[in-house]
Amino acid sequence: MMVKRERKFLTHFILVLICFVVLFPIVWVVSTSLRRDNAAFSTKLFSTRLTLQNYIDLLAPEKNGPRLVSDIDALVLMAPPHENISIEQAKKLLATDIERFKKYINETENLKKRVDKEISFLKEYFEKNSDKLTEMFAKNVDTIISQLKFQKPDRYLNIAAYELQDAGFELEPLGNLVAPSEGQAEWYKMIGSRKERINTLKSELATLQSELQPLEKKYYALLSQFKTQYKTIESLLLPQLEEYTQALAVAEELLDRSAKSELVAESLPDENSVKNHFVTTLAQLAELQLKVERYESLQKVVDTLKKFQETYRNILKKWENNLGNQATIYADFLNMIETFTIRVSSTIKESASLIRRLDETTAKLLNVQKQQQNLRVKIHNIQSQLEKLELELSRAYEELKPAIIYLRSELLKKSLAEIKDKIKNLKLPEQLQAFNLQSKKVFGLVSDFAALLSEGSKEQKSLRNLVRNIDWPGTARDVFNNYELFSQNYEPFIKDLKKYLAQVEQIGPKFMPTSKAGIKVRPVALERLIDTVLSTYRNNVVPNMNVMSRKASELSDKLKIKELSNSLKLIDAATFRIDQIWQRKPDHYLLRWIMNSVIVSLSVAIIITAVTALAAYPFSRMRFKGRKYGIMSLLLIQMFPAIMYMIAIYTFLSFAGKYIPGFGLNKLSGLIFAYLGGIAYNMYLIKGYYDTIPDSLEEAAMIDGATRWQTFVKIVLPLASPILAVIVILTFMGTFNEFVLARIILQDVKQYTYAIGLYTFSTGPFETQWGLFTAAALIGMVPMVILFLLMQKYIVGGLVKGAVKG
Amino acid sequence: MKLFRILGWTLLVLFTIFSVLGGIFLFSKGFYELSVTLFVLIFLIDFFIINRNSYPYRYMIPALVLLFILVLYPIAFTIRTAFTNYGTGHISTRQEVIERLLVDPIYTYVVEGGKQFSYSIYVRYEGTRPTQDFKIVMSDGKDTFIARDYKVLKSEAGSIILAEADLMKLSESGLRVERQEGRIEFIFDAGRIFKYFYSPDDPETSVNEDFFRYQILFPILSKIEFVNSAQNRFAIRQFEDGTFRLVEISHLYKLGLAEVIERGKSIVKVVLINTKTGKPLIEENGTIYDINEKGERFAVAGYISGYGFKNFTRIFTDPTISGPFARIFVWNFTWAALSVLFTFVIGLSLALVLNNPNLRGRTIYRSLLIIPWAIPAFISVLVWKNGFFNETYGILNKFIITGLFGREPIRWFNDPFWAKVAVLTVNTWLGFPYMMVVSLGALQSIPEDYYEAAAIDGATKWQRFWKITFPLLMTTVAPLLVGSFAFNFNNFVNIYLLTGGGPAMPNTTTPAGATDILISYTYKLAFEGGRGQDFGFASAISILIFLIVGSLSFINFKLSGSFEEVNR
Repeated sequence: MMVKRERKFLTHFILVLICFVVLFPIVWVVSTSLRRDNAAFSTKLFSTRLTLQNYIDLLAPEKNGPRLVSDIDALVLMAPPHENISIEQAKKLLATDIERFKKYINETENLKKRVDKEISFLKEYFEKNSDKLTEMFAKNVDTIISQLKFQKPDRYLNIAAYELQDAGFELEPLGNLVAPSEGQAEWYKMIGSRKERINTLKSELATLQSELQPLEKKYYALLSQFKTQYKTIESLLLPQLEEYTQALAVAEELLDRSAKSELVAESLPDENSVKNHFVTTLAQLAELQLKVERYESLQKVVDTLKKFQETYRNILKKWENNLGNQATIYADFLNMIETFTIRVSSTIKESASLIRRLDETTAKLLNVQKQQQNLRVKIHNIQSQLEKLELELSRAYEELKPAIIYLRSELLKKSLAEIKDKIKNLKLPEQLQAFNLQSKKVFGLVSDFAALLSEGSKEQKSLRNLVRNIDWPGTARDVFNNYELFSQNYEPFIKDLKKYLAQVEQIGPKFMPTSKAGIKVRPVALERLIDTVLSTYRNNVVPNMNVMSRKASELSDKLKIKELSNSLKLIDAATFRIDQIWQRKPDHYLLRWIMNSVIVSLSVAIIITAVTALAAYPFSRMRFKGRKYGIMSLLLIQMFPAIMYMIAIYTFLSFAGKYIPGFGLNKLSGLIFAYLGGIAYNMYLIKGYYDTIPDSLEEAAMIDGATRWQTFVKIVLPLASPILAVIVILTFMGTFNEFVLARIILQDVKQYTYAIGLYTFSTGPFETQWGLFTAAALIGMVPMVILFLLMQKYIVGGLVKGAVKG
Repeated sequence: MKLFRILGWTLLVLFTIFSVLGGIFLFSKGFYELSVTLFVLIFLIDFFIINRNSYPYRYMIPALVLLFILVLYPIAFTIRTAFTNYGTGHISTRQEVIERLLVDPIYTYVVEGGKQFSYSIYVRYEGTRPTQDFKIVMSDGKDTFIARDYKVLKSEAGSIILAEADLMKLSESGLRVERQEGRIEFIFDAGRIFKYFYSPDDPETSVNEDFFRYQILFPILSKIEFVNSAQNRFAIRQFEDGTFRLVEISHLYKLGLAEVIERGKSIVKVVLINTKTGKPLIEENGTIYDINEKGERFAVAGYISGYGFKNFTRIFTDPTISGPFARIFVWNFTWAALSVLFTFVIGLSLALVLNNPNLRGRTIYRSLLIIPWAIPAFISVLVWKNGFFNETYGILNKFIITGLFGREPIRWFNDPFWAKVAVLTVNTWLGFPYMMVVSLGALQSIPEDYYEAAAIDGATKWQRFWKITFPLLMTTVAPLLVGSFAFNFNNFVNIYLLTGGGPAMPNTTTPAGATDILISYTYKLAFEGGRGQDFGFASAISILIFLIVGSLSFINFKLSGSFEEVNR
């Protein structure tokens, strides 16, 4: 029994957890829509400063200061939206507007008075409880001191002391506890020498690296030179050698023929000199080959050279046998070889000089490489030395750490005690600034010390927690300072408002007749009034007021004194209201969007239901061609991506809009029209319902003389009204939730449906206005969720039965 | 009764005539598919009404109208578009483009060294208000001319595109004028009185400049071409210094004849001719090219023209399209499959837990867990996008990733992998309640006896699930899974609203992104003109989508036996 209970509990626990995770976005939406601060920039997930302001702004925007002045302006100038009213009416409206404006001024003054009162209460409280507050602060410092219990290490104390001294710490407060001078030698061994060595190595490294850089540049320059040179050799030599080989083949043929030829030449060139020349070039070729062979990338050239020499030798061999030949062809052969040899030797000379240059480049390149190599080795050596040293150093520090922490905690205790002494005699609130300095000091010292402790340790966390709220004197000072500035700016603001308003009240109506006649002149007082409301408020009043209000709520969090929290909250609330009265707010069209959505969805729902109720009837009751596959093929056809209908419908609507007034793109009627295509699924549902209505009722009526149409209207439709209602609601919901087609067709903000309207709340300047966005989302979400839950049975049933809603 | 019949027939005839006229009008405007659709529709409606035997169809007439215009016509249009180059630069029909080249003021030029007039405007007043009824008097320093009332040559939806007015000497016009200090102050024309209103050279009239510009110049005067007796044309043009001057103009293009050799035969064709160079324009692949003085071609305008199967072959042959397309295609299937898998696994697990009749408060759990389904999807997606996944302010990055785990913030919308994680997360959240509800329904329909029998045979819980629950469940749920797959395959809203398909893929000429599915890709091709719209290609892809989803649904209907159900 016990076991079973346990498991049930676990199931519930898990289910509740899942529900929480799943519904978290909704919880977030609800809480964010009620927040007073700007949730997007807040560091807190939820806030306790709640308001309904977002809903008011969206649904029933208050005609606040800025809106009022622009209305007054429109009235005095008889400009839209008041261009068509009579002067009497305008005067009346102006009077009510001014009355309202006065009320706002009154309210603001009262709010300001409340702020004054609360601030003076705060000051009084500080004065009365000065001792108590300083005591509290001292107590907090004491708690910190009590946390600073670190064991005194038995080693390295003096060394650590010297290290601290080296780092610029004042060690006097420690008195006789340590003797840094005694630790110096040891310190030098452990730390100082290593530090020095590291510094020299680092500077060496820097010089080496600076030497390496120009070498690198030189290397790449040479490399590209090398590449162009060997490419030149290749492109110069290869085609020539090939040509020569062909020429030699011709010569060889001549030689072969000359052996058989009988035709004798009259005179012959000097056989021997030609041959000698030829042999010399062969030797030169061999030499060239040797040179080229050094370069692997010139292998092709080498191969061709080898082949070339081969042909040479062949010819030579044959020539030996033919020496002394007198044939004319032999003479041709000799002539050819002679010119050939001249060409070849010049080529060889050219190539040799090219190769020489390549050799030079290569030598330079190798040299640079060697230098680089040497430098790199040196750098590497230094780097590994550095690494080793740094490791040693950090180990040494690790060893020293307990001692350092101990010493610094002792130092900290001493300085905290000193601070405690200093604040003891401070009088609040006059000496708040001095107090603030000391609290900042505490904060800085403790944070520095906490950073020394191992990351994430318990000590570190508790220290940081203790010190988090200790700078409240600074926050309090900010509250007072900003209050002073705010008051300074507030006085002229409210005075100007009153002054100009009084004048506008007097002379405003006098301008109306001329305005009506088309001479629109804005009275100077009105101009000044507009200026004061719109820009003076934003530039002079808001900044200090908002800082004050934020700091006040911060202070309330930090001090956690009940009597103060209340008054601080009042300050926050009062300034929030002042801001609501005078802040310039953009106009929202949410109500209009919802109206548009309702109009569109309702029209679509009713039209579609009527059309499908009619069209589904024959499918249920009559026999005709196409009955069998009609609805199914419709359902299939509607699988065609609906978005692609839009190219055609968009083109059609933009065309039709030009000829039919009130229709087309950017019109609700156009959107309604575009939505009417989704009839197949509804036909399927209605037909299914008609099938459940027995035929006998109609048959009986027809016997009595009713026509088909009459039985349909008088019997079937009333019986089917439940499903028709369901279809209306479902279509309504489906259309309300549609986004894409509306986005394509509607372009004007005022014509938007709720869906695209909400989209604008999530982008652009509203991206971070989460309060408005979530409120708007919730307004649309709630009725839809309620409708869904009411219609659950049909939605689920329809899906399970048909499974075709796509 | 007879009266009703006659009335009915008259109405039908009127309707038919009216619709046929409409169809002809549409045809003349280039809406071929629509006019054909309309003619078919008219024929069907008339046939259904006249023919006694087609009585059942009469009930369907309203549905047919909607079906034809909103479903069949768009499909036909899409199919035709898939074989054309319809898109940015190729929006209008050939006829419209040629008309524009002939008429549009953009395609006129100021004749160098031509005449220039100074002009003044005279307006008829109604009470103290000026009207748009005006006269223009112009002078070249020697003679003074006046324009007759303009004739509208071409207008569209009530606004003038092009108008023409004859010019004549004021002395010969027979109009009476009244001068003051040498300046014409009033003009009298058939009972209408025109008062001196505005002249760009007269600073005293500058108070009327706004009215002149916005009520007279832009809507009317700038569209008028003035023709004198020598057939020279004049019009008002804005010059670089911002002034509007009345100058001599000429049209850049005119229609002319050209002899072309086509398939070995000489054919005379009507072509556009550039009046400056005298050369005919060239048409190729739906683009009209002009040739400038240097003999270089440049495109002037484009019109819709046939493209063959190029839009389809592009998917495979063009490397800047085929790569991203293949990735989108694969991701589309992965996305749909993973969505179904995740939602089904989570939904089924919850259903198994909630199916226990001894569990207390299970209706409450069920109602709570169904809420993500009840909220309109676009709202949820926007909430997720803006509140949760926003890279800078979103609470996932701010409170969980960096706050709780101390990691670097995740770039939800800029890293392809995390963007995919984001869309899948949201889709799972949106979709699991449906699977849960469906599975619950299916589980409840499994008879208890099976389990009892299995328990007697000593089957373990695990065995009972895999041997009884799961197979029986699948028979009901399988078609729903296929349906869910088809739905997610085209789940545009989620992808589009959350990531917009992004982050963008590199090295592609089309707007493809890492989380794009075919439908969002198509949408971006067609409607987001960042890199120009391409309706042709978009249509080709949507036909592909239709083939995939249509066959899926067909299988689904077969699986679920919906065909049988319909044929009672």
